[in-house]
Amino acid sequence: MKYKDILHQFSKAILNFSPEQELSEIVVSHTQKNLKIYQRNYLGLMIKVLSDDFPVTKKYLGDANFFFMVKAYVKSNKIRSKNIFSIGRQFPAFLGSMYNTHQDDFVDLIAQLDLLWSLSEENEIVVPKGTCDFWRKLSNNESCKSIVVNFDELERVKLVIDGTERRIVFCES
Amino acid sequence: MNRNPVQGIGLGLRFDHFDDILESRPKVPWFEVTLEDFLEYGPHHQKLLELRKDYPIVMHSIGLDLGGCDSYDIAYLKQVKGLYEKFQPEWISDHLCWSSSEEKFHHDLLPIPKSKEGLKNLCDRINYLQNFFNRTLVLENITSYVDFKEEEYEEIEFIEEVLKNTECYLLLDITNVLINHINRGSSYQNYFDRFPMGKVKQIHLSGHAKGEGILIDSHSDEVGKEDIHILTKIYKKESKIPAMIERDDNIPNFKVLNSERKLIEDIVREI
Repeated sequence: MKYKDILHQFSKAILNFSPEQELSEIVVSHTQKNLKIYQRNYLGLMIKVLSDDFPVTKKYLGDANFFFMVKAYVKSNKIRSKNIFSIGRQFPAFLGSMYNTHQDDFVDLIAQLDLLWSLSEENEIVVPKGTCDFWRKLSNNESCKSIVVNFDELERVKLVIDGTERRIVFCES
Repeated sequence: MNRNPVQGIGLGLRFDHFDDILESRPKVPWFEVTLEDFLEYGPHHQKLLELRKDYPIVMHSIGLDLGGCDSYDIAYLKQVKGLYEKFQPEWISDHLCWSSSEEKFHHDLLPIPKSKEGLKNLCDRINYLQNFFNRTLVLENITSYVDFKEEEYEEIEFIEEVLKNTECYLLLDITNVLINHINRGSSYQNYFDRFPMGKVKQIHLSGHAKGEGILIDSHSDEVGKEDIHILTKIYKKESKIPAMIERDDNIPNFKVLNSERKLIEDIVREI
C-alpha cells in the first residue's frame, strides 16, 4: 500500500472513531487496540479547546449534551483548522445545523456570542434582542428567567478589545 | 566563538506562568516556547518579547507535519518564519511525525510508517522547510502506540537515514523512549547506546500517565526517577546537552514546577 494511503486510512480510523479492526491491513495486530488512545487524545483535545472557547454554551447545554455535540462536530469532519485555537469557528453554525437533534433554536446564538468573545480581534454580530443579556447573565451565573428574547427584533453587538481588557457592547443601529 | 546560550535545565513556558516569571525573573537558564501558542497576535506576544530580553528561548512546534503528505500552506509557513524573526529563538524544533491527512488536522503527533517511501517523503519535507526557513531544524522522537506492518527500518536506523539525508539536528525525548520500550516489554538501554548523541541539541523530560496496561505520554506528572537516571547516564557519557521539563496537564504553579527543575539541576550539577 502507498505511504499516503496508509496515513489516510489511519487518519480516517481516528476521526471516524472506527473500531480497531479497520487498521488490520496496516497495523500489527497486537497494537491495533491502541487506536483508541489516538481517538481519545483527539476527542479530549477537542473537548478541552471547545470547552475553553464556548464556556456559556457548555453551561447552557450541560456537560453531557455539550460533549455529545462536540463528538458530533468532530465526526462531521467540519474541523479543518491548522490552528488549534480556531477549531471552533464552525461550531456555532454546526450547532445551528443540528436543530433536529437538540430541538433548540437558541443554542447556536449563545455559541455565536462565545465565539465572538474568544476572538483575538474586534468583530461584531447580529442576534435577536435579549440574546446578549441572556448570555451575559448565564456567564455570570445569574438568573435568566426574566429575560425575554425577541426573535423579531435584532440587535448588533460588538467585541471591543482595549489592551488586555475585552467587553461586548451594543452597537447603535 | 559563539557560545550556545541554551545551557542547563530549562522549562517549557506555559501561559499560566507567564506573569509569575515576568514579575519574579527566576533563575531559569532558558525556556522552550510552544510555537502554536503564538500564531495569533495578542498581549502574550508583548510578554514574550519582554521575557526574551532576559532569557534565551527555543521554539517547539507541533504543526509542521513533517511526515505528512499534504501540500504546505505557504501563508502558514510565512507565519512561522515571522515568529522566528520576531522572537529570535535559538532554534525551532518539531517532531518526527505527521499530523494531517487530506487537509484534516489531528493536532496530535502520529507515528510515521518507517518505510523507504516514508523516509523519502520525510527527508524531502525536512529539506524543503530547512530551505524555506534558512535554518536547520531540530527533530524529536515521538511516542508511538502502534507498529505498522510495512516497516523497513527500526527507529534508530530510520533516524540515522534522516540525518544522512537532511543534516538536521535531534531532540531526544527520554520519556518517549522509555514509554515506547516499556509498552513493548523491551529494553531501552540499547536504544540510548545507539542514539546519535553527537547530533542532539536538546533533551525533553516529562511525566507520563498509566492507561489500561499501557503508559501514555501525557506530560501530566513529575518527571520519573528513571528518566532522570537516564539523563545522568547521558551526561556522564556524552556532554551536558540542554534538557528541559515539559508539563502540559495538571500544571502546578510556577514555584512548584521550578522546584522540580532545580532538583534535577542539583542532581546533574556534580557530573
